[in-house]
Amino acid sequence: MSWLDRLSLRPRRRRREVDAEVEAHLEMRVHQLTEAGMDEAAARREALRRFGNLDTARQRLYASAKRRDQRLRRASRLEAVGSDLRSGLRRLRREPAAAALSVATFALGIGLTTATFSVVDHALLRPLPFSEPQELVRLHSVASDGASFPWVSATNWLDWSEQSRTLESSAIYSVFGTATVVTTDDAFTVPAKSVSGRFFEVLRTPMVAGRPLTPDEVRDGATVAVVSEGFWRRVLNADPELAATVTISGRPTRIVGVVRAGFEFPAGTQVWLPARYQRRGGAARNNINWLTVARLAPGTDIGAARAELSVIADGIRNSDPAGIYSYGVGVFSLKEEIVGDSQQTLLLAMGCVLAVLLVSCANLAGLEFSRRSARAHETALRVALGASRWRVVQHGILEQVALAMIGGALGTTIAWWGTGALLARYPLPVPRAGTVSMDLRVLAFALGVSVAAGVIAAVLPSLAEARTMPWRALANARGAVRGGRNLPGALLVGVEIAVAVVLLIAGGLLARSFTTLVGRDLGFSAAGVVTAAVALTAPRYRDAPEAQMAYWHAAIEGLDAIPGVVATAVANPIPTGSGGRGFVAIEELPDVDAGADYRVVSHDYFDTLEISLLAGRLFGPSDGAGSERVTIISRTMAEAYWPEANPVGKRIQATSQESRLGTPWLLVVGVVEDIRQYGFANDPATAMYVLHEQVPTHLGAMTLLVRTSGEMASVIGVVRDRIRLLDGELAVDVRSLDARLGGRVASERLLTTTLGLFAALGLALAGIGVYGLLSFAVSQRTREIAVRMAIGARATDVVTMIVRNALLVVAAGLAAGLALAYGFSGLIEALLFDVSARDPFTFLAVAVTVLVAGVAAALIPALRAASRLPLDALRQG
Amino acid sequence: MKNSDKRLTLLKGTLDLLIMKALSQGPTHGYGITIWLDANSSGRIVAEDSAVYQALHRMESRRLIEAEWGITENKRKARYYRLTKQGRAALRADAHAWQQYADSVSELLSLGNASD
Repeated sequence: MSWLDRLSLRPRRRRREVDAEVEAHLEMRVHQLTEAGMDEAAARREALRRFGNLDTARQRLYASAKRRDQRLRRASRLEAVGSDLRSGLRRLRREPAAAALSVATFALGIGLTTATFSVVDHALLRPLPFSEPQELVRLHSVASDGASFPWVSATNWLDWSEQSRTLESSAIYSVFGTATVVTTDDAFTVPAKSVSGRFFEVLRTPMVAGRPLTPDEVRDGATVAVVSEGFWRRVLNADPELAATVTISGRPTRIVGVVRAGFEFPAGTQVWLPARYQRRGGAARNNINWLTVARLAPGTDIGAARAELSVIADGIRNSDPAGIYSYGVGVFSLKEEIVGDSQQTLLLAMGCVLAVLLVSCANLAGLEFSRRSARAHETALRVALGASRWRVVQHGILEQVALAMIGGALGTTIAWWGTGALLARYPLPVPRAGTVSMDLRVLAFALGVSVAAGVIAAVLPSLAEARTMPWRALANARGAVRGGRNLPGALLVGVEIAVAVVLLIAGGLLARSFTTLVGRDLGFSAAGVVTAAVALTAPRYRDAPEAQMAYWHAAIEGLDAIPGVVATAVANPIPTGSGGRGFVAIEELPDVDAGADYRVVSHDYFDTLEISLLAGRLFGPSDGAGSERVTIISRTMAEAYWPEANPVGKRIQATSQESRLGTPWLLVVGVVEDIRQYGFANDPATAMYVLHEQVPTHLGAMTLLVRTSGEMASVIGVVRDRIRLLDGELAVDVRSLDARLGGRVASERLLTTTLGLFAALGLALAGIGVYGLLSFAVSQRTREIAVRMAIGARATDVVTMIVRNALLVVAAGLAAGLALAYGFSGLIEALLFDVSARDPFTFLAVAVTVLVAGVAAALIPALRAASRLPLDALRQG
Repeated sequence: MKNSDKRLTLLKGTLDLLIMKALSQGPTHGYGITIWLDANSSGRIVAEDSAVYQALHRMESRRLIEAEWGITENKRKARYYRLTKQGRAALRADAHAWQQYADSVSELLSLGNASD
């Protein structure tokens, strides 16, 4: 009887039962009354009276009986679930090896998935822990050509925020920043930001101690600061009174507040200082040096803010046309800005880890097929004795779910501990990586994934088990799964292989992209160069360009004297560092708005970094503080503004950067090769170099460069010592240039490594799957093989036959995987450098690898089968 | 006495309690329960038969009682009910609670009775 039939019969049966009970009751009462002397008719009337209105009573009883049945059914179903789960646990004790394998596989897959999710959750789904994060926005400056930049100038921002009604509050903060902290025994630099008065109010940053900076303090330039909880614990010993005064960037500073851990904005900041900015009209509106964060007023949205601010920007443009970046204001959700590039990477990682989980579930499903065909006898008996097929399926699935939950608990625990340890060592270049932890959401996810994994691993084998024909199973003691070909098992393995292929192709493409990326010519030679970044924050250097210049001279001399040093220089910025970019006026092209990166360097800079000279000359001994102002420009700049002529001998002005020096005319004396200033990924921009001795206003913070033939680690140590000896109050950050470059590609390296790991895992699991499938198939066909060999088949024939069957499955999976990878190639395109997402070389390499691996995995059981003597096999069969 | 209206306003749950008590004396069918109520309360407690059966369904769904068809002495088919372990525990608890309630109400009502 199908369940559909049963369903429609139920109400009828129930009603009949109720009627029968009521009838019996009435009969008994009539019987008693007639025994007592009443006549039959009167007794019947009395019985009906005592019962209550029969029709309404019957309806009510039908209803209450239905409710009763529903509740009882629900309760028994729950009980069944409970008992099935318990039986899954019993299986652990009965078959420890198989159960252990299942638990381990689940633990691995679920653990990896949960760990990845915890990172993704923090970085993508909830990157801003502040209250009402959807109200937080960032303002952009829009130039006359429509180009939008996330930076603003202080003057523009002041005007916008004063006139805006749609922004409840707004603040600016510095783009870059470190601060030097000097304690009694040490001097070190920490990431720091200068912020405007309402910064903490905009974010509603929770404090652990003290209070935020006040607008008055910022306006007056008070020597106060707010620090992070980590800083507070490390440097101030978590003093709740905040009594200590710390020397920050050369000033004794009072700490007034401590930000709660996890709420640092931008992430990683340890010290917040009052920002110093002025309102200055005209060209100063173009000094877009600040980042913004603002909160929308309640009831408004981004669209309304954008509309209002464009009107305000129009007003500014009309009253002060010199502001090129005042043409418009962009308003963007802060969350999207923060998440930005990481999104694709993280989603890719999540997709891959789920793929690996899928493959491991498929493997377990394959395992289950063979296991259950071995106990088909028992199942057949149960079905023959009346167990519903649905119960069989449910039992099978819940068994696996129980194992999956155990494995999931194990895996999540390991992931918890492991992720924390790993992130502490290798910080991820994704938002909020520092605060990743296993919270309730992640645990709920882990639970959900465990149940899903158990169901996926069990559903096909359970359905197959439920279709067991009882008589066939009872007759043939061994193996009663329908059909000898084991189509579902082959299908599973095919799917596994397809998934593994996709993972391998993705991994291979990323690996090629990464090698291409780090193989790019940078324009300079980084090997053997040590960098030492120093900020002259001590009081004696403040507003004292001669002292600053003297320091750099002494530093260069001191470093030059180190044995093994070939060349020394100082510059700001150095490659991998960030520096200013400004407008450039070209004498013979007065109508052109030129722009260039502005780089301050010493005489030997180009030699130290081995940057080639293309025309003219480098800075020489004749160039110095009192001599004619000179500049060297980059190839891109030369080609951009003097495509036909030789720029040497022409004159330019750095209008943005040298206004305080009177914007003198600079003579172009040379052209050098481009360098990739910002690392492998970026293309060179137009750039100009000036001599440090000629720009006393730009000497406050620079990086020393030392090219050495000696051993890097020891040279780094010596450099640090010499610098610290020069002036103990200054902090110095010494690293090899290669290390800085490596930092620039951290996220690409992470992605490539992770994906490579997942791909290898996927291939290994698929290989196990092929092996398992073949082993099972071979064991099923032992008799057949034995017979073949008995009538004369050679061992090689047997092996070939088995391997050929395996290859069919492998080839099908491979074809499917290649098609999938080809079809979805667009998804990974954006992450690749100079490599097509359909790179034929990678596809071919993966195809060959998978075929070889598939054959290898199939050979083992094949050879084993062929080596058995026919008689043994027949005896066993 | 036409007090059947007054008597029928059994507080909700009291019928359940009485049914459980009836069954604690031994398994019986629905008719047997109505007989027990009638006989042991000297006819004072009268419940409509259909109400009894509804109560039985309710208690069966909560697993306080369980039921199966059986044969009476008169060779009739009848559905017999029996207390489960949960039912026994519920009977003890509910009876105790009812007793306390009745005692408290009696006490309050007997205040100032001397002047009546």
